Amino acid sequence: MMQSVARTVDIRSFRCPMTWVRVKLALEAIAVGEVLEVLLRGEEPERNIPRSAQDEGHELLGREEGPEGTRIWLRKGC
Amino acid sequence: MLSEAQIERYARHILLREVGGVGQERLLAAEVRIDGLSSVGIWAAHYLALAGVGRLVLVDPRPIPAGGLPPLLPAALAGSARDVSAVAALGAHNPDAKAVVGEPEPKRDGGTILKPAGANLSLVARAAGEASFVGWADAPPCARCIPSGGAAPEAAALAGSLAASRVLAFLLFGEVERGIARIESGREEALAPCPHR
Repeated sequence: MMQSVARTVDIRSFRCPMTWVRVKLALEAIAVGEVLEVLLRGEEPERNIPRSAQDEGHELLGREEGPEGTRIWLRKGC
Repeated sequence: MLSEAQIERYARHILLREVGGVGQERLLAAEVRIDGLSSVGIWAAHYLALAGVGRLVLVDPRPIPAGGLPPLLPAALAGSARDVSAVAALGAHNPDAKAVVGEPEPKRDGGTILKPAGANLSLVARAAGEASFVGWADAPPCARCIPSGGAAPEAAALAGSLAASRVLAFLLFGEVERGIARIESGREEALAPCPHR
């Protein structure tokens, strides 16, 4: 991820719906246009976090699989 | 900043697009005065405390009636002051909602008046028979326009929950629409302005 990340949130230890609760709070803490990095693991958050973020007007910039989990990057919308 | 315990407690509110963590913090910082702990007012206090409104000023020194006031004040408390008993009950309800007893204002007719700090109007809530009345106004309509007393339990609970939800909408969005609605049998109609004052 080449863009600078304003904040990182690790939701690997949380279950639905607390996964999205944590991501939503982290998005509220950054400015519009800034990038949030989310570290997650498991089928449920991999499917639902990008969808919930896009439903609320944020942009999915990319995703990357790694040994410690999946990283996704979200740009905060309005 | 919400504490870990608050994030757990208000997770369902945070999920709502209209609330979120920012909105919940706004509710926690808010104050609402509830004047008149009738069967309607006690439901409103119950819902506002559960929603996490940070400070509730309760005013009604009248004794609790023989049957109690659901859902907060059981019949065993009959005869005790409503405001003092409700403050004690809400303390166990949600530790974030700090309830205190307020100074009564000069005598007025029945019903419940909710006044959020910073609002220029008050929320009037009342139930009579099967009808519920709720809305923002400068002053409550007279007893000819909104009868008081003899409320069906369902009508009281509905008026109390609508009152709480409208106050929450004001606290979250700052929007107030003047006018009192009468709701009965699922139908809602605007109440004519009170011409008797």
